[in-house]
Amino acid sequence: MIISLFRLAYQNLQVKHLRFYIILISVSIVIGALFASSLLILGIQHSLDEGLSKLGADLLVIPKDSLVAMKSALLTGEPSAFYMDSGVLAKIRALKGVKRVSGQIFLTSATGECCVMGNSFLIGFDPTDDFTVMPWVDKKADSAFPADGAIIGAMSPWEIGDIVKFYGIPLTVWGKLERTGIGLYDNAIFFNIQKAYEMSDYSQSDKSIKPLAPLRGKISGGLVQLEVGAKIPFITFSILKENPELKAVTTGNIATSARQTTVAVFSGIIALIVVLVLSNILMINAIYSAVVNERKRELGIIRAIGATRPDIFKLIIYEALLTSVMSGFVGMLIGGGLLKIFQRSIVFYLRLLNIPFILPPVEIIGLMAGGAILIALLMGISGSAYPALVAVRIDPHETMKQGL
Amino acid sequence: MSEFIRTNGLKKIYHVGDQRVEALKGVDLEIAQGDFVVFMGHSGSGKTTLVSTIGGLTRPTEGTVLIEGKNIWKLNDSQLSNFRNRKIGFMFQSFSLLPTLNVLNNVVMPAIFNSNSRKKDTDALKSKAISLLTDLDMKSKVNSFPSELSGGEQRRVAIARALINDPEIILADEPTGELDIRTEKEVIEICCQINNVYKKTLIVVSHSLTWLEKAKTTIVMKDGFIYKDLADPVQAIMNGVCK
Repeated sequence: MIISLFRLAYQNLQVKHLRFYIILISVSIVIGALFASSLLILGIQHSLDEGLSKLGADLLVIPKDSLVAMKSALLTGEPSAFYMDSGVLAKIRALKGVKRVSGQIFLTSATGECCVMGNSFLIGFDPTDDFTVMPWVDKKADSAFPADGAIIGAMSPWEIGDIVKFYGIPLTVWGKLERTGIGLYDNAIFFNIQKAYEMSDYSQSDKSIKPLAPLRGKISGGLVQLEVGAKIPFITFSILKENPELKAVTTGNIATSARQTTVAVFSGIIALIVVLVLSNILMINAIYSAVVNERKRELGIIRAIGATRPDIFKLIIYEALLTSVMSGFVGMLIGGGLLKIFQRSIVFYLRLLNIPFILPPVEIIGLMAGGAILIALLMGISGSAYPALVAVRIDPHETMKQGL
Repeated sequence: MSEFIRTNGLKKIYHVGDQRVEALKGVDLEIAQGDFVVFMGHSGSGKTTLVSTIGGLTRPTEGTVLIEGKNIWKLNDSQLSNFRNRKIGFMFQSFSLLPTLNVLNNVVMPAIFNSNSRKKDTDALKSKAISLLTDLDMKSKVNSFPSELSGGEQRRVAIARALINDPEIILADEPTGELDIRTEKEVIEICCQINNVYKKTLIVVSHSLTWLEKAKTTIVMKDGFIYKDLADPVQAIMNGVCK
């Protein structure tokens, strides 16, 4: 094959193996870490998006001062308790453009009760107007949902037919939800809202347990589904106008907030990767500065026989690009491979932290792979640009004077 | 022979630290097309600086270099690179082959910077390189790397490289330096052929007296000047004027 500028760059890489491998290993590690952590973050966000889309609600109406607790509940399944008057449901239901409203009430189980390990997130819902729990029942008993029935989240330890007891009220596990990816649903126990009121009553009478607040006539929040074509801002405005003590948030807002939370959780890793990227750029710069210095003679010859300054610039940049692109591919293989090998352990660990994880779709992984290669390319260009500029200033006459 | 290369009042001043070095002190020179010129003179006389100024490698401090009537130092960097690439074949002091490339690729190297050759069929380029290497008795070494060649073989490859773009001028700076006598004679013979057979204008810088027998024109330099009034420059050199 006849030589070309690109091939000349490739041939040059084969001479200084050590330098090539130093850059390859170092950039591969950075790209591998970047690719794997991006996959993790996007995987978590993807599963949250999936889960939130399964809520089927356009708006979430909650007490004004409980937004943070609600987000925490949705994201991690952390038991939360906040209440508002259940009468607001009827007012919201009456608004034009509202299709359905479903109320839910949140309770935190008492610890130390028989057969219950730790705190459980208890949610009372109304099966007659529900559209967010029943559609996601994955496994269930043959009978219809009974008055004392419970539906457990995918992460709950119980099985169908088990009897669980909270605040003196026994519940029979009737169904199990499919995994939604949002902590609230995957860890909770759903039952008829009437049972929640009974639990509240029982807690008031049994002096041995910490009483719940009086809950009759209360709910924690309402899930609102709008008619097709209804404008979310308009409905939100209408709800808040009549109920200034409430907060109405879209599930999109929660997803954004969840993304920010995820990024915050991984901010340490991201910061480390940024530092590694910068230090690799400096390393590439140092290596290519040495390369240019050592190859002054050769670059002088090339200039003398007709290479323009842009040709010399391209020659150095091509070398760096070839190395960094190869490093990018190796890094992705390492990062992706390690993630695949340890996927079970990682998912298990994340679930212990109540953080959902589902690998993003292939097209998103493809885009991330492209992004990782692009970052490797940018590292190569940034690191070699200055040495390349030094190289173009090499005086070919000096090479003649030095006797080549 | 018609005037092909002309320099007018060519001066070159280098600044080395606080020192001001006048390498050329106003050189006026004419070289005809097809000439075979040898520049002789002691080290530091300005030979290499003059040749590299003519070759578009060193910008003069003052004066002009006209090639076919065109002042090459009025060209921008890209035009000057193009000029060097198409008009001049360089043979440098010592070994100047790229160690990462085999003989064939070293020879075709200048062609990758030639905008005309870029459009050419690579097979034609390869054939031309092999033809040149055959003429130089190097056909069997096309796939060898510079480290596998002797000094004389490396010079032949450098000659083939200088000819690949079919330039009109060949500039050779000490092309036989560091060679044994037998190999030096071989290289000089090849240079004669380049001048006679390929009809190239050959400009050689050398300390070796062996060139004097073959050169059509001998120019003696001393302290940045050309000795113009030497009746017999060869004899002057032999007598040690320029040593």
